[in-house]
Amino acid sequence: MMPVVRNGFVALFILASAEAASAQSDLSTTLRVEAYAFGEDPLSPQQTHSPSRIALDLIGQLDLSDTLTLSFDGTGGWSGGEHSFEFGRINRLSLDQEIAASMLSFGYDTLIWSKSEFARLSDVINPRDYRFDPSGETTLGQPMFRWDLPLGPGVLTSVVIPRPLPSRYPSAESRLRSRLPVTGDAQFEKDQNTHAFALRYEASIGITDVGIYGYIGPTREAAIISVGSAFAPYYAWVQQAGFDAQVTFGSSAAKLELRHTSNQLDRTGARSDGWAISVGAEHSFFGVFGSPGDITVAVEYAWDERDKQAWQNNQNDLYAGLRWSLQNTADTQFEIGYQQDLSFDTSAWRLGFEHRVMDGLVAKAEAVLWQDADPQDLVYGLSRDSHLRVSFEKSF
Amino acid sequence: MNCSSISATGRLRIGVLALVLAALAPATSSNAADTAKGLRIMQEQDRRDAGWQTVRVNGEMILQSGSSISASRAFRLVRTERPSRSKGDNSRLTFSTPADVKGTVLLTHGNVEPKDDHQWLFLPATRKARRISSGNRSGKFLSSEFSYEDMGGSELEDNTYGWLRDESCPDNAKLSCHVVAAYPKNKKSGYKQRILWLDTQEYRVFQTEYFNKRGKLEKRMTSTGFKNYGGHWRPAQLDMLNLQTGKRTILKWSGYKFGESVSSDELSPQRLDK
Repeated sequence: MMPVVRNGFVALFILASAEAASAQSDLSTTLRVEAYAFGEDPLSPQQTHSPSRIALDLIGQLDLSDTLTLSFDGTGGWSGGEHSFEFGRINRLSLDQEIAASMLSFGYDTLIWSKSEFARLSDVINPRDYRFDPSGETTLGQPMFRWDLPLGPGVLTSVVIPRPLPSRYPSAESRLRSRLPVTGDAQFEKDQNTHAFALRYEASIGITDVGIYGYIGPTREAAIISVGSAFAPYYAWVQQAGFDAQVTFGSSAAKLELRHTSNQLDRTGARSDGWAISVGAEHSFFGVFGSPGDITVAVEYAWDERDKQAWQNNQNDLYAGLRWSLQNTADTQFEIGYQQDLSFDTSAWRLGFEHRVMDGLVAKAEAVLWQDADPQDLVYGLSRDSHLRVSFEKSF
Repeated sequence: MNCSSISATGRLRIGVLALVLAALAPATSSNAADTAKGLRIMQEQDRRDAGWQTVRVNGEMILQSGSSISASRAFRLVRTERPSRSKGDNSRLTFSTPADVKGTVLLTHGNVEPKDDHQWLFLPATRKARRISSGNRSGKFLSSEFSYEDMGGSELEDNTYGWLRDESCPDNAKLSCHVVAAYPKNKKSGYKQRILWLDTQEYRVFQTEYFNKRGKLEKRMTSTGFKNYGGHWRPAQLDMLNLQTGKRTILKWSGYKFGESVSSDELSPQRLDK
């Protein structure tokens, strides 16, 4: 059967399921169809999989009693092409019990703590799903016990992770992967069943949103090591403490994320204690060109004390971007951004477009254009993967 | 890039909030003439409406261009009355349709001039709450004819006032109305003044006219279907007509529930994902 026909059948099946599910419960479903176009041959001849995808996102909650709720947020789908495969991701599958003013949760959950849009240093809890998103912005749900306790002007969150999960990596055949295909089993410095812990307090005070946290557990920045004939992620056991803040004044905002990590690995295999920081600012201009639209300009800089030896992409990187929102009923929006690595000779342009075709149907396009890529940079594997991605999302 | 300021989708959501707040809050505004009388009228309106404590209500916003409907949004609103004279009302707006914005939350912690309101937007797709810039008071909310300022839950102290005259209420000649001008104190306001028609019996705002910075009449909002909920009058519909473009936005309210308990969690920026 031709892939396009098979994709069509799958899409119809998922569409029907989504309609049925939406009719029976307070469930949000989104059917997403994505296609990629690459401008060059891949870095490795092994990378023969140019993905097109059909995915279904399910988000909802079920009130089991006045104080007990089951929440879920997951994605499942099928990636087509020469090496097609099914995939799934749970972002949240959690029982939430209100106890007086506090909330006790048990299950898979995703905790987004970062203020920055680029380095996301404060997102230390959840593993990443690199299968379709080399930036690491897409995360995987982490099994945890979580207790949120209102305290003063904010909330104190305690987290116990009984069995920390590793990140997910693309197959050796996939585009948009690192130069070394990460196909081996994850390695943990401590037994994977060793519990991880986190404590965070965050509050909003006037125009400032602040957070402070501590974390003990496997790092989210895995080292890539050789295991037999394969490469595998290695998770050092680290202690982290961090602070993040955002101040919003008028049409501007300033952001700061600061993080200290003990026992972190670098690319030479050495261990050290070190700092990482992210600073950013943005400003919006409203009513541009005599229209209701607005333009936001943003700048962020991320730095890691390990510099070129850091196991993270944004170790000395500058990012500048602009977004133009037309503020029309179609929510039309254009974005352009430029990223420059100040240590490596690496840079890239990013372009984005979003438009609501009709209620519940959104069209998106994204282009990533690599200008230079330093062979020593972790992102070098993406240097031949400049691409255009077009997607349509139908929500029910 | 993913700028953290509100996205276009976010604007839509914020706009809905503005509409909601405009409907739930007794409208206020003014113009020079008899300043003392204007203030007394608005103080009386504020006094009569005080004590509602909490309200939950369903809303629907319909955008019309000519005779055709170009967009529709549905949402639920929770609002709590200002805890003190130095604060404004707090509210949480949760969108239920269309499907692509379902679950989006707009949280507002109101303030009194010269402080701006604090607002956060939660997008379920990113599971992240973002601060909303306060610099866009005059911008269109959700591409509607309501501005963020219209939706911002104006408090008595946010304006100076002037009584202009008494006359028959618009579209209701049996009722007599005070006509009061409200002058915004905030320099970022998109208006030079607003003129309100409040009936002399119950102090319900039947009509508001909005004059832009150049002093030109730009929009007219009419409120209909008033109903008394335990001493608190609320409209069933707001109809905002842009007199410059002919475009119209209708906001419908249903299922008002006053006095239900609202936990502090529900209005906490740290709990928008719940």
